[in-house]
Amino acid sequence: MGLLIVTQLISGLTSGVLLSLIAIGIALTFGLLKVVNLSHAPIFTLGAYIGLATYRLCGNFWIAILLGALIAGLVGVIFERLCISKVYDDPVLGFLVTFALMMGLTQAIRMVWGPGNQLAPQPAYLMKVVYLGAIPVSSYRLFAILAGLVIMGGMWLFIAKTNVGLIVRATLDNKDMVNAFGIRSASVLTIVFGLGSAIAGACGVIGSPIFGLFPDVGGQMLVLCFVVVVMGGLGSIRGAMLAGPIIGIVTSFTALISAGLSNVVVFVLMAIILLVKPMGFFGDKL
Amino acid sequence: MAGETAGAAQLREVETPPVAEGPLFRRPSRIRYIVGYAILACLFLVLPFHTAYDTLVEDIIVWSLFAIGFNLAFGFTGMVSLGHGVFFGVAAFTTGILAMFWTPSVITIPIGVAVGTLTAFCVGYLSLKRARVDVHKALRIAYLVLISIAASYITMYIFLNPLAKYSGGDMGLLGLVDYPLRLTSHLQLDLKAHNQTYIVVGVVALLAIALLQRIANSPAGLVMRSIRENEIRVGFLGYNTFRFKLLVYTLSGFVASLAGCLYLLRSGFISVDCFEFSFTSELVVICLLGGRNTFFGPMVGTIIFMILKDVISAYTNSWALVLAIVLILSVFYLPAGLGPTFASLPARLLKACKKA
Amino acid sequence: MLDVRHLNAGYGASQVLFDLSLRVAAGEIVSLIGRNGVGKTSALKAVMGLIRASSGEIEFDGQAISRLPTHRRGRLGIAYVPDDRGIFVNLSTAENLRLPLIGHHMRENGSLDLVFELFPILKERWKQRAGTLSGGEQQMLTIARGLVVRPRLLILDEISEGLAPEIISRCCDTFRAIKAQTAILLAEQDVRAALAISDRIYILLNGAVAFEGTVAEVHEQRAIEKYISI
Repeated sequence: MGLLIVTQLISGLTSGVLLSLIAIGIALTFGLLKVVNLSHAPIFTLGAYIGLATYRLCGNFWIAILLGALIAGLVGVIFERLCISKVYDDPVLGFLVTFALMMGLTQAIRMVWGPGNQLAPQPAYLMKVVYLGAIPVSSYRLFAILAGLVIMGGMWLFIAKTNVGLIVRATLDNKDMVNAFGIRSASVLTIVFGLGSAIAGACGVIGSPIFGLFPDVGGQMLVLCFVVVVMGGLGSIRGAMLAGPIIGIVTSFTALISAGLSNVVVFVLMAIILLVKPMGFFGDKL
Repeated sequence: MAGETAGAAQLREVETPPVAEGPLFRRPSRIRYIVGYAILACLFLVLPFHTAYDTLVEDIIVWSLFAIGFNLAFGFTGMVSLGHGVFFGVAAFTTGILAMFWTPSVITIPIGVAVGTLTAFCVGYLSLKRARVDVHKALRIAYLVLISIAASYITMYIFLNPLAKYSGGDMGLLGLVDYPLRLTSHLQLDLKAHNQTYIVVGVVALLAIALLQRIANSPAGLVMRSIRENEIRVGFLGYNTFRFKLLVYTLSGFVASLAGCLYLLRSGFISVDCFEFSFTSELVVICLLGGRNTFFGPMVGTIIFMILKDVISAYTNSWALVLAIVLILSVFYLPAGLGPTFASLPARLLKACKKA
Repeated sequence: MLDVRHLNAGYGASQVLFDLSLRVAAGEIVSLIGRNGVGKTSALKAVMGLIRASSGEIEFDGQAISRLPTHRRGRLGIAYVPDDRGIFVNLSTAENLRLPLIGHHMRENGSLDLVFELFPILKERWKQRAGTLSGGEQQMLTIARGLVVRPRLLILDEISEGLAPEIISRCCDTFRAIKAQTAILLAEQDVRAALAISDRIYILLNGAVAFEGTVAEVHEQRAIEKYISI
């Protein structure tokens, strides 16, 4: 029994941490652009596939993560510059554009790599079994949690401690005044978008042995991410960080009963939150 | 330079601009109504029987109705919801399941529509209750989108798991065509007889569209559009915008349910695919293509979309990619959709004729 | 220093400024006064580029800026203090003051001392989140934010609102002291304060300039009674 609980807990934490990271990207984008960025999902998927391709080419997992992140970030920046920056202040159009980008990129991925499930990169030195006390745990999951936390820490440092991070936080509060003091807020948005996309790409690679590697993996992630973002508060980074593991753990425990049920439970949870505390845990702006 | 400037002298000429001319509620002349609906009646009731593409035409009819109703909520009132496929499917499944497992009677159709409308009311209530005016507009839209996505997942789950025995699970509802729907002991609607079903679909669609147009051209339609522009002000005018939006949403859900049942009649089949939000997103594209701000815009959009889909799917598998590109291009270059272009066509043709 | 000529601007389809022209020379303090809704805030926003002008020219220091985006105008040495305070609510007081310095690529070299002298309470609230400051403190913060970059032109929108009279008079003293290096353009509801501190006055009516002159001329021609009093 204890084995089951710990395994599910670890599994939940793993997916939760990764969910948080992606959710942070979405939360930031929403806070800055007032647009729910649906295209974040296929960027996650793209990162995973690029990671796979890289791993097949060179056999190095770390380079795979790096390249996945880089290309995902690049695609994100391209999307932002070309399409999304044009629809900043219109939420309906913004939704439509991100939706179109999501559909287009998912389909493009499907065309390039085929609709089936691929075998994710599995570097042998990470795929060991490690013992926590008497309980066997997959070391890859521990690695994923660690990597996720490291990235989160890096992000936090960036936002809280650097000048650029300061500018980002100011832009979240008042874009016009940031402009008035000589800083091009549009560039800030591009940076945030690019960074968020790069992180999503990295999560794609890291998460691929866990979530699977098929064209719609991002889409399924996305829905859960939405719940994380809503629970944490649209626009709140801290909220996303907290809500991610919670959702991850809830999903992994209810998945024991049935996969479909875990989705339903999560959504019922979201509906309750929207009714009771629509701003989520921390979203007190907007 | 001291003293009164030329600006002050100009001031007396700077007056408030004149009040916009023209009647507040545009009502097309009777002739245009009659001619228009006569044409529509021909298209709906006569065309399907004289063409090889009858399924395509019927689908266009059903989807036109679906899109026009959807657009009342989406285009006119600004409520972005991805859940209308849920209402479509719930109505169709209810009708089908009741017909197959309870009693094969025409009464199952109104029951199905009622159940679908009730679902729409509930989903609308949940989505809109918290989308109050003091919350930022983007947040309101985000709520709607999220709750509608949630509803679609939940419904999909319900119909795939607990109700699998009735709904046919993955495969969908099969075998309905073997159950003609009884009206009275002598009259029955045979789903295999296309001449019967097409007439029913055509007539119902026509009546429904006429009713919706009446609503859209009424003061209520104006209120809808005003809510999209500035909901707070509409509240100041004394309207309870929450109730109004809920009403519009339920109405569009009613139309979706109706469309679902009509589709069931036309094809004799329904599957859980309609619960996916990609199903409703096609509607979004249709409305965008055809024009969100005009009543018949979605119909134009449906025609273009369906034909495009048919043609392109014949050549390539990547219909979704083409769709995405079309969507992005139309957001940038055709923000008002193609509907207004078509609407102004008669006027422009007239002008060209006059010049010649 | 600032030359606005025949400016027409508005919000979308509704026009607010009609052929507006005004000038601020170096070393001057110029006020825009007028009733509510007459276009004072819109005029200032148009100068900053926060609302789009449909026609007209704006020149700053001889350079045409009407086509420049807001952030470029800011970098030329114009500081803007908006009427809604516009502080960064989730940043601390310190960070609020640091951001303009980053934007103008400046080192803090004494400008903070000026700020602390003027508004000593900000030193106490240094690490506090700006959103938790009182209304008056936020008002002080936003003025401080404008001052800290030592701009060539300082634009102030209705700053007397929410400030205790004693603080307002301290601000006025500071403005008089810095006006040689920092020209000041301000919009004010408080006509008396505006008259007390300005060199020249523009009275706006219906989005255009109804009267322009020195303070003395305002009194001579009883312009206040003509254009502002009810």
